[in-house]
Amino acid sequence: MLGQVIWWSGIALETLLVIRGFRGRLLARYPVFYAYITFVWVQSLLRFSVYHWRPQLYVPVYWITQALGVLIGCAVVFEVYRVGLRAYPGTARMARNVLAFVFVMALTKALVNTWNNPHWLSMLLNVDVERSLRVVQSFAILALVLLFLFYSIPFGRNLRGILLGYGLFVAASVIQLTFVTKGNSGFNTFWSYASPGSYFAVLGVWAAHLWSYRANPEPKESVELELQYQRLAAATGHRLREARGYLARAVRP
Amino acid sequence: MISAAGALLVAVLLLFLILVWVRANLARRDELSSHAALLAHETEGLAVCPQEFVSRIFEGQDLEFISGFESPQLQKFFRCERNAVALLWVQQTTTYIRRVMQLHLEASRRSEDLHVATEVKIFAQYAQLRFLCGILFVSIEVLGPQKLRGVALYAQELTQQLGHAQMELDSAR
Repeated sequence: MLGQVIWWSGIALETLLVIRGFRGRLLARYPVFYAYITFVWVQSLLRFSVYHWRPQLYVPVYWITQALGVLIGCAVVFEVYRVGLRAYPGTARMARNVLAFVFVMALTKALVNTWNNPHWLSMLLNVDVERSLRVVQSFAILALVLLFLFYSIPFGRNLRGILLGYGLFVAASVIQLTFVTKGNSGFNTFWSYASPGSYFAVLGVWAAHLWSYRANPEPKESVELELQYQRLAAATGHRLREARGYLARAVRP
Repeated sequence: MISAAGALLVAVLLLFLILVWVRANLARRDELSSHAALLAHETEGLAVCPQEFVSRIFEGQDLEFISGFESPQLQKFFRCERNAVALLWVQQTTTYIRRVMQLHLEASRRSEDLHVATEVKIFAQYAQLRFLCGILFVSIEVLGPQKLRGVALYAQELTQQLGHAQMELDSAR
């Protein structure tokens, strides 16, 4: 009963998110994120319908929609990178390199596994594959967040909410999928409530952060010019002090 | 396949880092407008200590001279004072390299022609320096500055290199 309440409340929150996005003209600014929310909304209703009217189709429908969800989720991470770093080409270049490194590492690991055992992929459960994909996503988000922290990239309320919510969702998914593969029945019972509960919390984070449009803070050109001038002055001062030091040593050996 | 423990570690790390990032982002929001100007202002007065000073602070000649008086009290006082000066230098160097790095990051995040290899090299140098400063900070009290002269001079050289590299990069941009 509680699970049903959380589930239907989640659907209601997703609807609210899309309506607010439409009214606040957020859809045009974050199209991939809203495509993801719309997809999840449609997916929930589709799964519900299939579960009740065509239960024999539920498993394939579940895994196909789940795989699509992971792929669109990757696009959400890419949107955060694209919008967040639009004004910071230097950090964007670093991010591209770091993300490429993460994906090359993941691909290399998969290739090595295939080389050692050509049938390893077919031996894996769908849950294992999804967990691996979520872990790769986690690495990508980790790398991005580290760069944002390192380069002190300011984020607006909307984009911060998207990344915060999606990051929490991915982390919760990895934890859930890890314990599901362990086959702990006690944990599965607990997680049957905790999983929709955590997703409901993520939807809450998104609803709060995406209630209305808040622009991403842009770096101010005037401040940059002032900064460049100050830097030039500091560098000149530094060189003058050095020259003065050499002169003093030459005069008083 | 990644192990269960590895996956859990990644998930926990992700949760932790996201919370740290949100906190940092919220804290920065208020100071954003004045941040760059303030940073430049703070850096203006900072200068790296000359090599001769560092060499003098960490060399053993002064201690030998004081030991010649054969006064344990004077020796103790000297050691205490010299440790304080050495620690102050470590603190100043740490502040200097932190500011240099902040300035560098401010400039490089908007740079169109950023070289990843150069950035990685600068970061490695910065990390090495922070590590050396940490080592010096802990070791000065235990070993005394005289035994750490080589490390201090190396750190000083690296600091100057980092400062110069940052200035060269800035003037090239």
